[in-house]
Amino acid sequence: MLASFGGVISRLGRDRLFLLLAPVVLFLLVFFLFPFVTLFRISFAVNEGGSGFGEGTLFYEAGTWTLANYIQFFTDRFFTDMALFTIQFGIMVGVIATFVSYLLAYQIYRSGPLMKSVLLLAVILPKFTNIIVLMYGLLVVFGRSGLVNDFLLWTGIINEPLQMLFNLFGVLLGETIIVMPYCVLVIVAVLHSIDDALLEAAEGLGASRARAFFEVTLPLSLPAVWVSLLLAFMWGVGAFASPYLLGNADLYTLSVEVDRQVNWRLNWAMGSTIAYVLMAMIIVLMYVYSRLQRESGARS
Amino acid sequence: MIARIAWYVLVGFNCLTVAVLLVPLVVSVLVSFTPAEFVSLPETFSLRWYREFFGDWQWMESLSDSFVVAILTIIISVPIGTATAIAFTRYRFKWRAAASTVIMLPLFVPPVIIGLGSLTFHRAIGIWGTHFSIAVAHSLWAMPLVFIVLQSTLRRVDVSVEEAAAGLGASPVRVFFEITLPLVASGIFVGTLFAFIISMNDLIMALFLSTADIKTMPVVIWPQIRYLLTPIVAAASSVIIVITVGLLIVAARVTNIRRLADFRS
Amino acid sequence: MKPRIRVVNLVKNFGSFTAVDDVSFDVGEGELISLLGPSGCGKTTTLRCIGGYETPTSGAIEIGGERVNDTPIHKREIGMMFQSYALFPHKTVEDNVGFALKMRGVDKAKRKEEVGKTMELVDMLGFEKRYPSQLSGGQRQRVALARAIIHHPEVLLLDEPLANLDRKLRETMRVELKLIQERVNISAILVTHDQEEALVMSDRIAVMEGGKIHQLDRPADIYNKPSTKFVANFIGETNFLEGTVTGLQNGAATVKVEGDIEIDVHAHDGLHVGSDVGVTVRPERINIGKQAAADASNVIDGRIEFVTYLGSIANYRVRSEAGPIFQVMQPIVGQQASLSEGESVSMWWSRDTGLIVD
Repeated sequence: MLASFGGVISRLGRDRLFLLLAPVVLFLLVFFLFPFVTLFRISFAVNEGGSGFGEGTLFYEAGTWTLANYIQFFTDRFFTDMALFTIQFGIMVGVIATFVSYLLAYQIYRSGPLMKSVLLLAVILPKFTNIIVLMYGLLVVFGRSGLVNDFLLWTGIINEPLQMLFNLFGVLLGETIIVMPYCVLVIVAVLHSIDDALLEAAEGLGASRARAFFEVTLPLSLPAVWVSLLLAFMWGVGAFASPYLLGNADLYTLSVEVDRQVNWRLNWAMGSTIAYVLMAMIIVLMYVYSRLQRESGARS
Repeated sequence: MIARIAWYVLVGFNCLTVAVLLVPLVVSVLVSFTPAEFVSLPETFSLRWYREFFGDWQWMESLSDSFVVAILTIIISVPIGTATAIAFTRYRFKWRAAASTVIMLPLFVPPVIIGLGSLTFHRAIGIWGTHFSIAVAHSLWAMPLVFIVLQSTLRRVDVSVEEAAAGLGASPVRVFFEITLPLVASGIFVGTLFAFIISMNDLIMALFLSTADIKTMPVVIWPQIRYLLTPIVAAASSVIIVITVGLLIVAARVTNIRRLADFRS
Repeated sequence: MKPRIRVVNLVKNFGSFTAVDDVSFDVGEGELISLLGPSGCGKTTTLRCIGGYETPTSGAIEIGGERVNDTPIHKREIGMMFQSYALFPHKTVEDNVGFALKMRGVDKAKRKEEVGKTMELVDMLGFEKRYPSQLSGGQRQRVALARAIIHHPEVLLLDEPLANLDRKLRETMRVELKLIQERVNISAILVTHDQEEALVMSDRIAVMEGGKIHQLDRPADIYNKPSTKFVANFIGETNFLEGTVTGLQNGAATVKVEGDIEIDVHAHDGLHVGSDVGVTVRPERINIGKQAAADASNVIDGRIEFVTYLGSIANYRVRSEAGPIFQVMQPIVGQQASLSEGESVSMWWSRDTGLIVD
C-alpha cells in the first residue's frame, strides 16, 4: 500500500508540488491573513470619526495607536452584556439545532432511499437559498398577521395573535434553520458509518429497538453530536441576519454590532475591535471545547 | 410498542421541522405572484411584480453585478481549489493534515469579520469598489468548498489509471488532460456550481464590500426587507431561488450521470 | 545472449523501512521471470522501480542496455498491466488499446490497423467500440494486455494481472497470457503471490522475502531443490526437520533431528560434523506402507492420525513413534485400498530425496 500511494504525479518532484500549492498559499496569505492584519491595526487606531480609519494612515504612524477601543469594550456594560449574550446565544443555537437535527437525521438514517432523498433535499435547500429569502419567508409566515397566527386565530385556539418574531424565539428559530443543514449532514454521515451488524447483534441479543438505540446507536454517534454542537455554536456566535431581522435591540449579537459600528456610525476602529474580540472568543471557546471533548472521549 | 409510538412522535416532530424549513421558501415564491400592493398570498395569479422587477434598471443592474461577481468567484476559486486538491491527493508532504485545516479555516470565521477585514484591506491596497473585491471575499468560502468536492472526486479516481497512462508514454501534462481532467470533470462542474451559488446568495460579506456603484442582489433586497416589505422583494427572492434550484438540479443530474456510467473499471 | 533488463543491487527505502534490499537479476530476450513472495516482500516495489513509478534509493535499472534510473516513466519503453487493469473508464476499448500509439504520435489510420492486429492477438475483435464498464473481468484483462503490448515495449511488467479473476478463469488465462507473451517474444516480469501461477508461467522464478531474493531458478529447481527453508515452505508442502550433522561419508550426511531420528541425506560442500541444518522432505516423495522394503533407507515407524483425500491423492498425517509428525501424500492407484486412520505404518525415502537447506 505504501508503495502505491502518490502515483505518477508524486514522482514528478517537489517543484511541481510547489507550483500546485503556490496559488492557495498566496491567496490565503494575501486575502485572508492580511485583512486580519489591517483589522488588527485599525482596532488599535484612534477613531477620527467621519470616514473612520483615515485613508493614508500608515501602519506605524506614531500617535495613531491607542488602547482606547479595547478599554471601552471591556468597561462598557453595553458591550460586555452583548458579548455575554452572544455566547449564550451560541450555546442555545448549538443545543437546539443539534437536538432537532439529531431527530431528523435519525429518521433520514432509518428511511428508504426515496424518503431519504426527499428529507435530505428539504434540509439542504434552505442552505442553498438566500438567507434573506428565508428571513422574508419567516416574516410572512410567523409575523403578527402571518399565516400561523391567521390559522390559529381561525381555529380559535388563540384570541390574540402570538408574538413569535422580534423576540428570542424568533431569533433562535431563524438561526436554527440557518445552521441545521450542516448539523443534519454531519450526523447522518456518522449514523451511516455505524455497522448495521452491531444493531442486529444488539437486537439479536435481546435488546428492544429502543434499547438498541440507547445502547448502540446513540453512543456511537456521539462524535457527530459533538461536531454538530461545535458547528452550530460557531455559527450562532457569528449570527448576523437572524438577530438583525427577527430580533430586537436587546437580542443583538456582536456581529450585528460590528455592522452598526462600521456601516452606521462609521466607527471602523470600534467595529474592528469588536471583530477581534469576537474572533478571540471563538478561538478560546473552541479550545475549551476541544479539551472537553478530548476528556469525554478519553472517558468513553 | 413503545418504540413504535416513539417513532411516530419522532416522525411527527420531523414533519414540523421540515415544514418550518420549507414553508418560508414556498411562501416567498407564492407571495411574488400576488397582484396586490402589499404582502399577501395571491388570490389571483399575477406577474405584476416580476414585470416591475425586470423593468427596474436598479434591480437589473444588481442582478448583473451579482452575475459578474459570481463568475469572478468561479474564476478565482475553481482553479485554486482544484490545484490544491491535486496537491493533497497526489502528493505526500509534511503538515498535510494541518494544512487542510488551514484551508478550511475561512469557513469557520464569521462572515462579518471576513467582510470588515476585507473592507479595510481592500481599501488599503486600492481594489475596494470593484467586482473583484467582492469576488475575492466570496472565494474565501467558495475555494474551500471546491477543494473538498475535488478532493473527494480525485480520491475516487484510481491512481493506477494515471500510472498506466504514464507507462504508455503520456507526459505528466498529457496524463492530466487525457485522463485526470475528464475523470474529475463532474467534480469540477459541481464545484463551479457551489462557487456560483455561494456567491449569488451571500449577503453579509457583500454588505461590507458593496458601494453605491456595485451592489449585489442580496444587498439591494436587504434594506427593503427591513423597511418596505413589498412583494417585489418576493419576486427578487424567487428569481434567486429559481436560479439556485435550477443549478442544483443540473448538479444532481450531472452527478447521477456519472454514477450511471459507473467509471469504476 | 544479452539481457534485456538488468536490475543491479537495487535498494528502495521508504523512510526507515527497507522495502527492497539489494536485489539483482537479469531478464533475457523473451524470458518471463516471476517475482514470487508473500505480500510486503518487496516484489511490487521492485516492479514499480523498473517501471519508473518509484525512484530507487540506490542501485541501477537497465532496460535494453541503457541505464534508465533518471528516465521518467513516459520515456521508458515499458508496458504495464495492473492488478486493477487500470483501463481508462472514459475511453473506448479501441482508444484504450491505441493509447500508447497516440502518445507516440502515430497517425489515426496506422493506429487503427495496429489496434486491429493486437485485438486479434488477444482474441477481442469486435469489442472496439465498447467501454471498459461493459466488459467482463476476463475481457478487461485481455484489453489491458493488448494495451500494454501494442507499442512493442522492451519489457512487459505484470503486477498480479490475474488476481482479480475467479479461479477457473485464472487457470485458463495463465496459459493464454504465457502463449501470447511467447508469440510476441517479449521479455516480461510477473509479480505474483500465487505459487501455482509462477510455476506454470515462468521461465525462471525469483522467490522473495523481506526485500531480498532467496532463490532465482527454473521452476522445477525451485520446487525440487529449494535452497532455503523459506523457499521450501513457500513452494508446495514440505516436511521440515531441524537437526545437527552427526556423520559425513562419501557425499552423504547423517542428520540427527527431533526425537533422535537419524536421517541420511545428500550432502553439499561446506558441511561438517556438528553443523546445525534443516532438512526438507516433500510429502509426495515419502513412501508409506504397512511394511518397509527390506533395502529401504530412512525408515521411520508411526501411526496414521488423520487421512484426507484430494481427488486421487491420499494425504496422511503420521505421528512417528519418536514424536515428530510427518505429512505424506500418495496417489491412490487403481483399486488399491488406502491406509486408514489408526493404522501402524512405516515411512521411508531414498537418500537423495531429503534436502539440506540453510
